[in-house]
Amino acid sequence: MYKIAVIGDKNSVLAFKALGIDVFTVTDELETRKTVNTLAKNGYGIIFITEQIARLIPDTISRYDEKVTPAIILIPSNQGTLNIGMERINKNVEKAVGTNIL
Amino acid sequence: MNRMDFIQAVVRIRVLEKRLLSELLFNRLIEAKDLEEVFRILNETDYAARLTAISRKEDYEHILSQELEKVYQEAREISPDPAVVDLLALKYDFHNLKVLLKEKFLNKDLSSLYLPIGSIDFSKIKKAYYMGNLRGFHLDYWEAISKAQEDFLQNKDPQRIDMILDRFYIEQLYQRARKTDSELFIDYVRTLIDFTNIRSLLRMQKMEKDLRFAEEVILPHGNIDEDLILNALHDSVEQLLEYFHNTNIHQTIVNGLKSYQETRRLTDFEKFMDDHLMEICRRAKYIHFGPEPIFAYVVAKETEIKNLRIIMVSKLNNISPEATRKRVRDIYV
Repeated sequence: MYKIAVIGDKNSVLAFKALGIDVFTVTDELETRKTVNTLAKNGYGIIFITEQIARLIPDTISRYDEKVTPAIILIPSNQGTLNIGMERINKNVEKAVGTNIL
Repeated sequence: MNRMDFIQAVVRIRVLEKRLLSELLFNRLIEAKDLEEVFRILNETDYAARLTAISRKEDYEHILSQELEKVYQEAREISPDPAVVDLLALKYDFHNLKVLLKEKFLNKDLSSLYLPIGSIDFSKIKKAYYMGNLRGFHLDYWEAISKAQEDFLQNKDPQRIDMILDRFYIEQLYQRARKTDSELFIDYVRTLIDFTNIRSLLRMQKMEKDLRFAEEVILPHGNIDEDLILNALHDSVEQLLEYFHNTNIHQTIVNGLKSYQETRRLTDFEKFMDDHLMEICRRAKYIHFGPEPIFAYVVAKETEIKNLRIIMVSKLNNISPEATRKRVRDIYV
């Protein structure tokens, strides 16, 4: 069984604890990078990460794009969306189907 | 409790009260543009020494919890009778009891969740508890914890642990308040029960719980009769208001309900509750011989810390000053 994790600032992600998802709070770039890498190594299948935090580490995120696990999913934080997550989905759909059907 | 024993204590409290953050300062904090500016403003206050002790601004929680700890230490030292501070510290004892049970059932070390504020030292009790030794416990706690434990093993419902312990907490609180013979304390506790009951009622309505569940949640000893609240379980807020209109229920509860009716947010109702409890504590300003000022000071400090937390979290999450202002509680001074 793969585990699920969520990474972000405390106030955005703490509520995920109630769903039984492992919550990791980070504040800066280095910490985020480290957390993503350790989680990937430790058998997490899905990592949710807030867009605000993901913006800090685009290279780390794109590195995991090429791997099957973990799937890194961008979610909006409590401050609203930056549209990076949706853009990524659109791009992936385009890649898979050849045209943007969304 | 002899009121004359408190003369010296009240004088000391009056001095400490002068150091509470003023409304003016809170206004500046609310208007601050980010957390850094909040810290800069706090540097002019008694909090300055604590600010230097942390390295990242996200560690603001440390400042606040250390301050709270200090307040209780100070109050215990000042108060000639520990019962006064214990009234307010009781909630931390019960918080710790919940952690203790959680630790046991999850088989995890949750030492970081214990609050070092209550009236008993939990690191000692914990050891005794694990060895099956009950002597460390206050008799009342033992009854609470064994009942919660039994119930969990039978029903496997963690929510019931909270419900059972909360009931014991209120019972204890009420008994202890009565023992002090202070009108203010009893009034505070009974009002607290009223608001808690109404809040539970609104919550249960949202969750569509049945009467059997409600009977275990609604607490005794309030100004509003238990049965009255239980009967209202299936009534709408409008009906509730109409019903309360005919009884001598305090206006603040009515106002709180009205704001809930508009916004449907329990957080708004909670602000009414805190503001009203503060109103009760303000009476202590005119009491010069007795335990009340100590109690009021601790409540004032707790509110101050709560407000600072609201402001800091708001700044961290870019919430507008107007929205923050709505959430900040009335202060004592």
